[in-house]
Amino acid sequence: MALNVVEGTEKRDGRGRRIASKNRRRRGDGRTAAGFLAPSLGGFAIFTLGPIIASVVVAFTVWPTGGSPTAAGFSNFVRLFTNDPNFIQSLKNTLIFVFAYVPLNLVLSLALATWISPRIRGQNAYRVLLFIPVVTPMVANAAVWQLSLLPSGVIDGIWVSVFGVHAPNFLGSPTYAMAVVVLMSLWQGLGYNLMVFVSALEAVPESMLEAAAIDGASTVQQFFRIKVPMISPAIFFGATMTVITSFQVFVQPFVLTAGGPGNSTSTLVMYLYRSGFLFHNLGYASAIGVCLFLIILVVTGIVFLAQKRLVHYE
Amino acid sequence: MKKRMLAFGAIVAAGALALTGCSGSVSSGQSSAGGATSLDWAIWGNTPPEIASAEHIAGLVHASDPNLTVKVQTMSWPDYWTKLPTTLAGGNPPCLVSMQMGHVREFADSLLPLDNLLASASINVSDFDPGIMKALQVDGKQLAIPYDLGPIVLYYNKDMFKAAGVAEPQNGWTIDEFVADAKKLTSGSNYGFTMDNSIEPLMDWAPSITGSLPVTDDGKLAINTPEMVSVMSWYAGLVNKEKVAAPVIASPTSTASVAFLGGTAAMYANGPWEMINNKAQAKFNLGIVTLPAGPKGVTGPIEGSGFGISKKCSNPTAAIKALAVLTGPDALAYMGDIGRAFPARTAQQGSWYKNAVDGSKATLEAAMKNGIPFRATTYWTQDGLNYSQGVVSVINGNSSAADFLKGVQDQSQSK
Amino acid sequence: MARKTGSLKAREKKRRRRGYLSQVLLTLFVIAFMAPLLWMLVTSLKPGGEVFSSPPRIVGSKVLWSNYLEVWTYVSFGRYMLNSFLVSVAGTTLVVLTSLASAYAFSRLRFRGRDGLFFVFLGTLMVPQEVVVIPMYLFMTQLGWVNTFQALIVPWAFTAFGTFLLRQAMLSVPRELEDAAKIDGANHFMILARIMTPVVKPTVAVLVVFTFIGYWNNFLWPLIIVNDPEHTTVPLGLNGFIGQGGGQWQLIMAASAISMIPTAALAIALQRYLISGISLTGLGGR
Repeated sequence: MALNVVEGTEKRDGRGRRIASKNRRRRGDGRTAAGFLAPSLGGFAIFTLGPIIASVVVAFTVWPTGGSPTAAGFSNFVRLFTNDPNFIQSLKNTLIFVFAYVPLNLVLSLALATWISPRIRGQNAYRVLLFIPVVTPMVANAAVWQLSLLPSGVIDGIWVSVFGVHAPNFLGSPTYAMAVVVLMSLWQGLGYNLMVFVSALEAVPESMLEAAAIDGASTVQQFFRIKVPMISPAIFFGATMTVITSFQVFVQPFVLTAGGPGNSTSTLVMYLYRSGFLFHNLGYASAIGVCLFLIILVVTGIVFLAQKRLVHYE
Repeated sequence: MKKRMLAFGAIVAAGALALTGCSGSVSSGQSSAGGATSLDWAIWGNTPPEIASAEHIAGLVHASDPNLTVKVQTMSWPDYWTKLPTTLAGGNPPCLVSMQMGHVREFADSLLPLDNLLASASINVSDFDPGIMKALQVDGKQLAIPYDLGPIVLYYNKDMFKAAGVAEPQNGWTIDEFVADAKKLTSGSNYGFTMDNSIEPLMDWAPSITGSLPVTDDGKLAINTPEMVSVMSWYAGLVNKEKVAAPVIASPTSTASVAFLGGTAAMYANGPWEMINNKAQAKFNLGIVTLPAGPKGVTGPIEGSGFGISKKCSNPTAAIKALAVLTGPDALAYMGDIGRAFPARTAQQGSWYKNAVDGSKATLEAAMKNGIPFRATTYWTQDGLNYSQGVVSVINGNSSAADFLKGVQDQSQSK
Repeated sequence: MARKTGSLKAREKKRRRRGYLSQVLLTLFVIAFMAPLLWMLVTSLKPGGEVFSSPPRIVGSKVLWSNYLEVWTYVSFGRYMLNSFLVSVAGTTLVVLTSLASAYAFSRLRFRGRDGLFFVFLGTLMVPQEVVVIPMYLFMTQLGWVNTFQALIVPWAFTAFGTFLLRQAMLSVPRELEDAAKIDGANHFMILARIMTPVVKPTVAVLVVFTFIGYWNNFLWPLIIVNDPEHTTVPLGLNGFIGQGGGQWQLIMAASAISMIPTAALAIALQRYLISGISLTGLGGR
């Protein structure tokens, strides 16, 4: 139904066609907006905003699954940081993962993006192939890696043929298990940042590079002095996204090593899941969730601060 | 374009709603329509033979009373115990709940005491093995009717023994003989034995080596004793000292049976309920013998399972009738026949012997003669999780048994 | 002059040779990168007992295409695939419809507090799903939605991502198109449906790809909320399959391969939109 009729004013131009009434403009589109926004914002309020606020509230309770909550003040948080070696370990593991995975991911995907330059034939095909592990279910990816790394699997078999001895028990040794998780995650995640960097690199104007070449800049110098600064917004974006998603690491250690051996690959989200749904302490698990979010905020904030100094905007 | 999108979306949404309606009913785990009652029954096991066996005996209920249908709800074994609390606390919990000796204390608050209902369904307590009947009681209240029981025995690969020139083991053999044989069977990429990271083996071997269990009579964990440390060290030593079993990994996969069924490990320990899977999947001649005996002789925990009724069930009368059939002579004879369960009904135990591998009767009788009932802590699932996380390191030789067991004891809520 | 041309030619030749070398190395690298997936395919065609053969062989004694058929009967894999499709398609449809409407509101309509509201809306994108699962689970128990399809579809259909993406696209649609329509008396709904949506179709395609993949691969939430095979989705079912005793790894690999097909096919078929989507979210619209 035309709004004009609702608003009650109609103006016609010289040819008798109705034109937008100035009145309507000034009054704003509040009612229409409400209609358009209702489904999205309604759902948002109920299913996104509500639970976000609730997660903070629940963190201050002791709430067993199937039971009722009791207020607990800060006791969950106190216990997390003073009396829970499992939490500290999972915090440590998550930080190790993030600080190993993010830089490696960025460097490798940037290197690959540079390598798969337009001069390579079939560059599109290569990029898509490398992208496939990004979109396939993580459980399937982890299943394949686990199969290969089992003490009787193909990696061990190849190791025996080449070196004559059995391979180290990668998934069963505290030192190697985290390395495997990082490696598997790199394999899975490189493709995404690869695409980001390829788009960014393609946007670097050739003219700048040619001018630099004429001035005697080598390819390496061109790369670091021109390309990198020009794609720094993309690097920043990639870094932020990768940091945030790497803090959420869960499926890889869950399927590959179940957080083991011992505690060496247990991450924050794994501990959250265990506390809430295996040990049935929902309040405690929510407190872990709140801590996770705060840590993400802090680290992302640091990346943002770095951006101010390092990222070059046009 | 948008119209088509909308139409498509509508169809999908309608489909979703239809599927939603199909699954599960409104009231707690049962629904009635015109006199017909349908009860949900939660049970573990999602391999095809296990599902088929559950469906079969559920069908027996329907045959006995056309107005009564039992709907089988399976959950995979590793998930069953961690999911059960949320399932029972949810809006539509199943009426019939499969329960194990090891977990009945944990779920005591959610199960309906059955003592007063037994008579109405003509369930005769004396038909059942008394040990498992008692083991499914908590504080004197019967919380489940048993359906299977069994000691832990050793399955072995006859072909591998023959190929290595090792004589087959006899019931009552000792741990020393076991280790010696395992060493002879370990060569190339084959191992004599296989294990995984679950807590059950500690329970299985402890009585024979030290005469005790890591759990007290009243459900408290006592895993940090010198006896348990010696059992743990010995067991882990099979991997890291004697090298007769492959190193383990910390994954939910129970790799113990994988290696055995795949023909790369000659022996592994499990119960009579595995006969069905073992016979189906082993491509070699299967042997069975008692678990190797330590200083205390042939003894070990006897485990068992049964079925109970959840407290939230709104039709306990129908539920107990269904239970009577599910644990009745026909159902248990069938389960024994196919090797899915060693029946808890004494009269039906012959059916399992008939179709198990040769020597099973002698083995089981020898194993059960001095067996003790399995007992578990109040938070057995959590204790098991804590254990399985940390034990990998101990088994692979990277940390000490004493430190590990102390950690498990400290973290336990069942103290 | 002649010398300069000579060295230019030499440089060209060197570059071309390096180019070939680069190409060869890259091909080898990509093949090595794909090795896990190739091993998955190879294993899926082996007979059960030969998965762990030593030394490892590429082809088993038989090539069992039948493994791919056996998967469907060994576990309720067909049910898992159906459930995943249902959830992903329904969820994607819901997201697209609501995002189109709200993106239109944020880009074309004027109302008080619009920008502030959008800022808050967008801010919640920073909160990852994992942080919210606990209260979401409690909410589901209160609604009686535990172990239902609605629980798998609805809670995650209202994030700001789709609105953000589509608003970007709508902002760059020239106003003349709508003005002409307004003159003809079209109301906002008609403008959105008949004019805006067709123009931003490429961005809608991006949203569809990202949302579908997100729903298909979701693991933590189904792990928490699903209790029976009737509602199990593919990643959850695959995990249960792995955790089952007596692991039939050749079947697990076949199931993994099948589970990868929908999202991989979608990504390959719509790669154009994926690439433009990644640049849209990454670089544009600051």
